Amino acid sequence: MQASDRVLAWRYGKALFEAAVAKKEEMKVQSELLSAQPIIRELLPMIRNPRLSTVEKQKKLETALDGKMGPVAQRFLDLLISKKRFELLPMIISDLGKLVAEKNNVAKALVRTARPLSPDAQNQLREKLKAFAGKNIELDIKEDPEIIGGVIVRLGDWVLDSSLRGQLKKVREMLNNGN
Amino acid sequence: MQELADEKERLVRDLRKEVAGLAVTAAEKLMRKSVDDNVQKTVLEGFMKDLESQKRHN
Repeated sequence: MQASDRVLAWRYGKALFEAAVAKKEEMKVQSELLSAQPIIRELLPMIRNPRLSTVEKQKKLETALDGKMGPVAQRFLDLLISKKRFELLPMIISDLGKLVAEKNNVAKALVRTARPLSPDAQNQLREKLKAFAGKNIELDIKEDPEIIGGVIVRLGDWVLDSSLRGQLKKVREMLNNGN
Repeated sequence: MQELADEKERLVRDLRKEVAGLAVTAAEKLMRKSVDDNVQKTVLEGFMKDLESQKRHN
């Protein structure tokens, strides 16, 4: 994936977001595209097939999606096929998610935890992060025993590392520097 | 004389690095064995306290 693809995906994502917002359907479009992702993944070989015309691909996709897309999402998918940019779709959906979250003042916090977090711990963490960032927080939690203990939270540009592995790393650096 | 001093400094630096590496590796092994739900809870609570104090300073 090239940097130019990233930029292009962002432009498409922003355009889709604006079109959806104009119809007050940004949440609907996001949810439609997210739920269609498994079907779309299966159809990728067909969409990459150079022997099929754009119209044939669009028709097959529409049939496979079986009316699950509203007009905004369906037109957007057709556009990606006609512009031969369908490969960008996963990035576009991710960018759309970011824009929708930003509009709703929701920030996604990626949490790596050494051990499972109880629902209670998740709620407490969400509340503390909300107070810290001044935004509603959506947690995306992944278990990672490699961090030994604690959590690492990525929230926008911040990386908040309380992991025992991170603390060991700091100790190693201090010892190396003779502190 | 300067060369000797440089060499000594380099050796001390290397030795310090090696000892640091061994100490941290040993600590990591110990931690991996001893970290349980209680330790995780304590670390997490500390993290949340830090978050609160950082918010106050923001």
